[in-house]
Amino acid sequence: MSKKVNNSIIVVFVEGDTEKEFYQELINFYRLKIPNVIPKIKIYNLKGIGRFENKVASKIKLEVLPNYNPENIIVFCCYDSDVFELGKKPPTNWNIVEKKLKELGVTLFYRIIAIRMIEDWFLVDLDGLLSYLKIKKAPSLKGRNAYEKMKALFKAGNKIYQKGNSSHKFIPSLNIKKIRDNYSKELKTLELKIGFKDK
Amino acid sequence: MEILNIAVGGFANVGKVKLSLDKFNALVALNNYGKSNVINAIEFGIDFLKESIEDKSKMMALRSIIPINKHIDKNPYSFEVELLTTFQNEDCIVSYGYSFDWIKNDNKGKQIKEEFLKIKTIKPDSKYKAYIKRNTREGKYMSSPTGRCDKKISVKKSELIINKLSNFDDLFYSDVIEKIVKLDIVYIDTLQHPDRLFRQINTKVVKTGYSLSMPSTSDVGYFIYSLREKKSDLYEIFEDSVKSLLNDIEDFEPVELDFKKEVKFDSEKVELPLDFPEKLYDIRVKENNNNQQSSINSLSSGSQKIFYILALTIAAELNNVPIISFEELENSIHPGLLQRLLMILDGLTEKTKIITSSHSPYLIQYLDTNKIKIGIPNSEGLAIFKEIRKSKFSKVVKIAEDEGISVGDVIFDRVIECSSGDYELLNELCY
Repeated sequence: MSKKVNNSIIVVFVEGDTEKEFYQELINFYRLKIPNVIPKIKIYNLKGIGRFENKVASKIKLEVLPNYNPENIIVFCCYDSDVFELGKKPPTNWNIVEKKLKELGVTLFYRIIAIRMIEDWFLVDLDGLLSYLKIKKAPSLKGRNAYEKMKALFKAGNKIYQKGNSSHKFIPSLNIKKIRDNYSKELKTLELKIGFKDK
Repeated sequence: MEILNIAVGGFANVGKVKLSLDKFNALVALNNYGKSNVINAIEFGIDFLKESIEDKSKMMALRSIIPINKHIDKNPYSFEVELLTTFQNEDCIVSYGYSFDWIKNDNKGKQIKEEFLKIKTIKPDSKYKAYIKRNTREGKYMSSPTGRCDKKISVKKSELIINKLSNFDDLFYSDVIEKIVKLDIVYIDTLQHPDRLFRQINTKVVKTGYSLSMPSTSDVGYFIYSLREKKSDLYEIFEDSVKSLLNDIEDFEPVELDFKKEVKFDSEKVELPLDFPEKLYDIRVKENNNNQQSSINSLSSGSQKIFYILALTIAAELNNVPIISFEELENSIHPGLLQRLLMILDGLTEKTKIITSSHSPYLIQYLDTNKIKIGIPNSEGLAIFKEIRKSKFSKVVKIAEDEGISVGDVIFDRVIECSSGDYELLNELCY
């Protein structure tokens, strides 16, 4: 006997601990700003050693579909547009993910793409990062991309930055509103589905 | 200084292997195929540069590494390296190499056959200029900046011109020569049992203070203690890296136990010209769920190896060692930690490059496809390593996506297929 509820659920897939922490903070920020009840939101971290295309479909099939109707499941996949040089090869093919979800009847599929990489978003709040790293003055941030700049910044704080790893709890030090305001275009659909309106 | 390319040949079952080096480089092959031989051949070539004439002569007769494979048993040992460095205030590419004949019947062989040193600037139209030229008959070098490489130099059969020139103080390219002669490679043996890594007293060489020079295996504890004493910022990075990888470790601290402080005999002199230190270095560890601290020896072998790998990587970077080689970096390390370990090694090193042999598709999937050298099984029993053609990268990715596996899995799958005689796809992918 199905125990499916008629409510919607927003399922957010991310590729690492840091991204999970970031989106969790972002959702907390929205919760504080929205007076009404917002839909249930579940964040899945796709960390691990296997292929993520199958993992997304498997999570939806085994953990979400038993409780929600497919038309009420809204999926957001969050990823970088650049391929991380020490990332899995091949990188996740999100078109395959979308296709697999369609096969499961889940058609509300959206992408939140960090143009280049999520580290570009983090660097928007340089003050927050400096405060976490206990650095008074920002070093010269040389590097061919935001990951390299984060590496240089963390090294100035005697730490090694590890993309997607939660060993360094810097997300709570970030000004989420500042980052959200800077990337509101990328977050527009998520905010619409949650019911967040920027005043 | 940075090593761009390195090529070796005529060593054990290594015919000829050229590696264009990036930050991470991997040699992938089946067991007993020659991955370690390639790494050993590089180490041998670099060590040969530093040895005396007598020891060079002995190295040319080392039984275990003279090729006995009938397809290469006449080949000389060859070593070539290409460096990016500054010379006369310009960024330059330095190409140096030598070859020698192994010992032969009737006490023949054991002779340097060829040696060269060439330098060019990094400008696109720049051409190499010869500084050392040598064949079996004669050797020549360039003696002045305005001259040519035509000054004769007399050298013994097992002597390298570069070693002789390193004694010429006023030679205008002596700094380039010094960089080549002092080339170094650090071999990090991740296969050994970690019991030999910590809590050792080094009785061979007397050390009267703390030192950050490249430690031997049994001196890792001493190096970590020295790091904390002399370079607190780097020690903090080391501490952060270890804790990032080993989440169970709440805290740790290197300690020094000075036995001579514990016992004093009345008859011992107070003032000594040399008071032999007898110190033991341990690392005290507090794990999250333990009610008390313990020695690093109580950790799993994989955890101890992480301390070892990270300490030696920091030491290599501090000592400007251009190459670190790992025998199966993945050994004893959980697959879920491999990407993090790579990111940490990437963060710890600037110009030091890493070569690892590997049996792990989990490790390989994180590396650049063009930096993976694949050992191609062949009927000749030679270690032949090839790269995937750039034009075939997308095909490898497509195969991985279609099969729902990683690029690492695809590579290992194809090597296995190849070993049972199905060479077609691997030959199509590689060159």
